[in-house]
Amino acid sequence: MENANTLRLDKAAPLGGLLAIIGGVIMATTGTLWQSYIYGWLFMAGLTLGALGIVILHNVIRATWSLSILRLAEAAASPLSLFLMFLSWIPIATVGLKEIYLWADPVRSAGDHVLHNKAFFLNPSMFIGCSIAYFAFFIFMSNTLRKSTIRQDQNKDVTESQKRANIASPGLLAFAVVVTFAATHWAMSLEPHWFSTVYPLLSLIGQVNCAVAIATLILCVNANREPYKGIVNAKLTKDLGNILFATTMVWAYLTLSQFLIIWSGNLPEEVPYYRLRAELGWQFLGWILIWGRFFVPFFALLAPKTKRYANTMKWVCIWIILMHILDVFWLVVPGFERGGLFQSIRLGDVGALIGFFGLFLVGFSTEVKKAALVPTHDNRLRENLDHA
Amino acid sequence: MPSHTGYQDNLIDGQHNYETITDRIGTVVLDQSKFNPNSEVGKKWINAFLFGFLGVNVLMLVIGWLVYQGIGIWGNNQPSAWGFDIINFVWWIGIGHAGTLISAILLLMRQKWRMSINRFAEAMTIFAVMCAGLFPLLHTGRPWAAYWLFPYPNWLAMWPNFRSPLVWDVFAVSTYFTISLLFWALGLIPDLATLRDRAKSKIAKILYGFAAMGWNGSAKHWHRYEQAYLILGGLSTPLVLSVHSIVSFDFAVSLLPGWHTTVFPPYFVAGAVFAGFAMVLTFAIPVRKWYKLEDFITMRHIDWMCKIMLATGLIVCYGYGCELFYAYYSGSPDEKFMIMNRMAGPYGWSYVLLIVCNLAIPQILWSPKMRQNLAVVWMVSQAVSIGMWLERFVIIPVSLHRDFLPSSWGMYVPTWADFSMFFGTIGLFFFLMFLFLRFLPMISIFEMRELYHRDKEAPSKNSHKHAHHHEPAAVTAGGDDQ
Repeated sequence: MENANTLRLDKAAPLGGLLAIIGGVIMATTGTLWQSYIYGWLFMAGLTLGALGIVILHNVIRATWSLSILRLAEAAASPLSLFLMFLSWIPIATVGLKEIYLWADPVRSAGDHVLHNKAFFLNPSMFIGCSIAYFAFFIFMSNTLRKSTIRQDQNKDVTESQKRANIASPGLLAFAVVVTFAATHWAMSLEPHWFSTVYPLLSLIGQVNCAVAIATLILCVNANREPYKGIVNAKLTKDLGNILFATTMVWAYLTLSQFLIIWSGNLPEEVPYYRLRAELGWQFLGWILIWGRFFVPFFALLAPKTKRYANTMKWVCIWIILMHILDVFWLVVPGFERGGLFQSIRLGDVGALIGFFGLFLVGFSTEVKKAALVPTHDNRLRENLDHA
Repeated sequence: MPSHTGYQDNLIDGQHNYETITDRIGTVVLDQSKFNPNSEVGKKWINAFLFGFLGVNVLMLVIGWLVYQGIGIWGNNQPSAWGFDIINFVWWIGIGHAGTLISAILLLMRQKWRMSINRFAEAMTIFAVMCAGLFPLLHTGRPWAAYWLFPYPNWLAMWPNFRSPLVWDVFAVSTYFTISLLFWALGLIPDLATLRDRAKSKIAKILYGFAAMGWNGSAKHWHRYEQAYLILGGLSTPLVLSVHSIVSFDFAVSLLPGWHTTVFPPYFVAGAVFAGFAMVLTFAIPVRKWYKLEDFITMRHIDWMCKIMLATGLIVCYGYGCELFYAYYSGSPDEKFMIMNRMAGPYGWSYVLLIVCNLAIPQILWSPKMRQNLAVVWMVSQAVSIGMWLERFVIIPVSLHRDFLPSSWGMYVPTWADFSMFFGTIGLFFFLMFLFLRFLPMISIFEMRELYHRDKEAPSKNSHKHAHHHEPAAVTAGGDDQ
């Protein structure tokens, strides 16, 4: 009955390390080091935090769909992964800070009265102090919840679930608040004059959507292998498909709301954000996202047939992940004002994706081996299997 | 969440069978003694009904005077061109949302517990939208020309401005009302047939029979019914999001600090569900006791509704937090002034009360013990209803009364007409709700029988759990919740 972990990840950690080095070299040698670095880092941080969101949410709602991807999400957002994210954040907060953030550079931001007005929040010490607090909170949540599920796998003590719910319910609330501040510090302040109150929610939902897609992809690829054999059935893929469908819709809903409100307001402090993204070829990326990030997965997942088979779900997940990569590009890169879309596609950004994906892989593959892929503390997935 | 449904324990308390379920719910309508003013429950009904009737009369008088005199009898002025009328409109529309959430979204999520509360929550939706619709209609000043809002071929060279969310509102609210009404009426048909078959009086037989549209319970009827119900469920689901999002656009697309903020759509939707559940609890708690329906609307239902209220309330408070933080982060003096004026300006009391009602008091619901205390839950629901009304007060006149130019500032003071019209719509809502309790089954009889079948007639609970998880793949994947 014990589920041996058979994801073939033995060589993934060294491979991840190698990718991280290759990515680092590409970034360092192509001239856009810090811009590419923050793009790659935000992509990885987003995935990790999206996964952490799933872990916390699961411990509040305890649904079957989230149970099926719990161990993958836990590994993606493990204390080790978060620690790697923290380590790779240190260069941003030190040597790269002035390069990346306009507000951190006293020369470039001199005489800017808007930045002066928000200097209490946007200054290097606040950025570093708050970020350390964000990481401490993320690592605390991840560590507490993961340790408890692993403990419960062993001792089958049902009070553990309740204890986790007691932490995770207020934890979810705190997570929303911390992510809001973190998204503002790390991402929104890349264009420091601009602000949008829905931005943190919007970026969080995109990350959760992509994290679910990655976990579902792993499940679907291994559907015929232990321990997922029999567990990944039409009902489960449908539930996961519906979650992807719902998060895709919420993403589109929030994106449209933000656009509509800013477009119709047409205020000088807000509209440059879209102005920048509506010309010099960037508008094509915008259209690709409207179609690719929303309509394609929307119609694909609307069809019951897609969700019934692991094989078709796999392709939808890959598509969503690719679109999310473009989405983060769209959110982050236009702010660097490199010029048009085609001038803005740089090798360094590809290197950043490779490097940070490698780093993510190191954390994920090391941690995913440490616990049974199908949790044994909650028998619902196994019951499916026993009666199949 | 969707998969959780298989683990719910019984949703019907007490010893029941098909017969007693039909009896217990059906007799509320069919048994005349329940409405006899000499009986205890009859007295309660008649008092509530008379309260509603009084409100309706007040409403008619005010509307009559308003149409004669014009909307100058309200407290609206410049700069506060929107006052009680729009506050009440948004408040009522919001209240309707719980009904749609329960009937549509919970249906798609296969949440069986919705079955005992959907009927009267849907009724609340319809009545709340009726109350809501009155306000913008009358605010046009010439309600007899309200049809100009629709794009129809005409010689007046009148065409609605489709870039205005006020026009979107017309479509959103009228669609919402139509779909909700159809959904509700369709869900009633099998029960109307039950009432037709059980009614003793001839008139009742004829009227229920007419409304049941020839329903005979055949497999074909059920098949069609299930299909139509799911389609309407699918149509209603986006409405939960779209209607209140569009209402929020009424404010957000403007340039006014306090209105123009991107978090408004999700924050309004959460607020609507929050207020809606508060109103469902406000009615459900006394009514289940009066008519002895505790076996159907169980403490478990109350518990779940409290949890939804708590969760949506926290989202709303997240919205308050965002407004506060980003007013600072914007670096804009106008945004900062707006938030300071909200908290410490002449209407600062309303912001403090709002935080007490929507943020502080609902936190009681974290305690499972308190969620089981009906008096506490009822009081919290009242606080939420008041808080959500205050929220719209804080957003609308408080943002309007002091905008960019101090020379154009002013105060907003509602008049007797504002208060009586608000009271009047509360009366109308009561009036319609208690008529509904009198003539239609407030809990879906056939769905409760279905639930009974699922819970008690399945061979054993355990095997049922497994059975739930072993529905044939084709059925689950291609079936109910697409």
